[in-house]
Amino acid sequence: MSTWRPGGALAASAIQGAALLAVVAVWHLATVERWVSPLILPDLGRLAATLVALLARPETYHHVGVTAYEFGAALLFALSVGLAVGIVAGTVRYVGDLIEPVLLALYAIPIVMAFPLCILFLGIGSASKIAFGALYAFFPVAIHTLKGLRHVDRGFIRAAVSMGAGPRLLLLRVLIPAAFPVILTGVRLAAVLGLLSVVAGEMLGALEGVGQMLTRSVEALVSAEAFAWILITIMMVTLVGGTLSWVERRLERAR
Amino acid sequence: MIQFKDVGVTYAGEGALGAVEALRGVTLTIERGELFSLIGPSGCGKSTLLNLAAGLRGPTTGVVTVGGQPMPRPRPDTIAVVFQDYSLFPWRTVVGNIEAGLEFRGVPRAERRDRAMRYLRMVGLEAFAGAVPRQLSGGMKQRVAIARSLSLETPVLLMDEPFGALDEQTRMVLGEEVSQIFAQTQKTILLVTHSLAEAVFLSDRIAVMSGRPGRIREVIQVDAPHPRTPEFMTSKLFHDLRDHIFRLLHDEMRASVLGLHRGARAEDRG
Repeated sequence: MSTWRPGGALAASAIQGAALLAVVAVWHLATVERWVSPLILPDLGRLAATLVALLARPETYHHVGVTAYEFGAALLFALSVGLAVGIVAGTVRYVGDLIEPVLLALYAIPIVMAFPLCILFLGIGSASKIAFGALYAFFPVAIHTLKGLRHVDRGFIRAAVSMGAGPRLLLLRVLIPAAFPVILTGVRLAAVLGLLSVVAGEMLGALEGVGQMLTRSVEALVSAEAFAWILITIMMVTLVGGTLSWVERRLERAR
Repeated sequence: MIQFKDVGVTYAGEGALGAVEALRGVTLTIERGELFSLIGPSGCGKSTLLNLAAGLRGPTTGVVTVGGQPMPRPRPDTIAVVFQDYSLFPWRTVVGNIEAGLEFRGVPRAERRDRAMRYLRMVGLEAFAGAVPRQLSGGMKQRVAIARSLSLETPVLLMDEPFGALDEQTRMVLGEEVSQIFAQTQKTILLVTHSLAEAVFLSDRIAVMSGRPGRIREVIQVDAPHPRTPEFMTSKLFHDLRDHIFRLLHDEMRASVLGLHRGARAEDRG
């Protein structure tokens, strides 16, 4: 539906593009007219030059690699534990009744408070960031899996059972495919939250990684570099989002 | 083939509603190869009877047997069910839905595709094998559901208001098709319906039920050979039977509706 109607996709991207352009224009004016000190806001030319220089340095990829590794490990932990907990709690009624309120209550607590403890227990290296990221990403996976499985249309289950489906086939052929869109929402949330919490963890206490580099640039008042790191982080988030959409389409076809 | 002996079902009460007696003293034998319909006012327990035969629930009192064996749980080797809401899996294609049923039933993978296609052809939908349920009309979905149940090749087929959600024309066409398919497959069929014409057109015998608690009021024989044609619908026999059932049901529905009103007023006072 890429037509020029209000609400059409093309019209929407035009509005989004115009908004982005406006931000860039105001930014440019603010630096050229010296409304804001260059110590805080770099001009666009310097930002572009700094970004290019940063992307040419091998250390940059070391830090991106560290963050990517921490994120990957955190997501892997969150997915395996979250899916396992969600599937058990979503299919065994008693366990579900027991666990659901606990999960929801814990999810409502600001998990960021656990970060100092992660540092205390696991040190300043990657382990504390992985634990922090995994903790953040676990809840959406577990909660969405549980809810998705619990709200599968009773009619599907009744039909499958009447045709002779045992517990294994019921789970693999009915419950999980039926709950799939909800579970995927949980995984999406987990990926976004996982990456954000890993970067935030690096900002709060770490020796390397993009978050730590951002903090250092800000503390050194090198605003162009700080913004360049922000752009690099945004690129990583976009890459994760794109990968997820791709995986989503592949899985949708395999369902 | 399907036997109900003095069967009663009482649903445990929840909240303000007390326990509800859905069925009382139902004794009924459905013979092998017979198409037997249950018809009655809403809430007369006809779907409950079908769920009992399907093994999806047990009776509170009495005994239900299928093929001489008591019914503790679903028996997919003997009984297939066509549900009112089709219960097709939206994430699977038409042929994939039928294959899923065959997988549940334990049919080896290599045989599933051929068998699924054979039954899709029987209901005239082989061209839609690759479509997903969302792309089909209600009548087509119900035909897929019927093909899925037939593909399980069980001696007994239970149908819970299978055409309930369809418009009058679709019901008629589908009814004729179904009559022919049934004449071919020689199954024992228990059909729950609220359509008089459907019951008379398809059935060998019809049980007219009375409202809450559900009881069998009368069992009516339809003496006409299968498969039945549209001409049967214009015959005197068809009209006489339909009028007879209509009079029985009319009394029941009045009683059931008025009874509900009386019950509601009593609750208001209490």
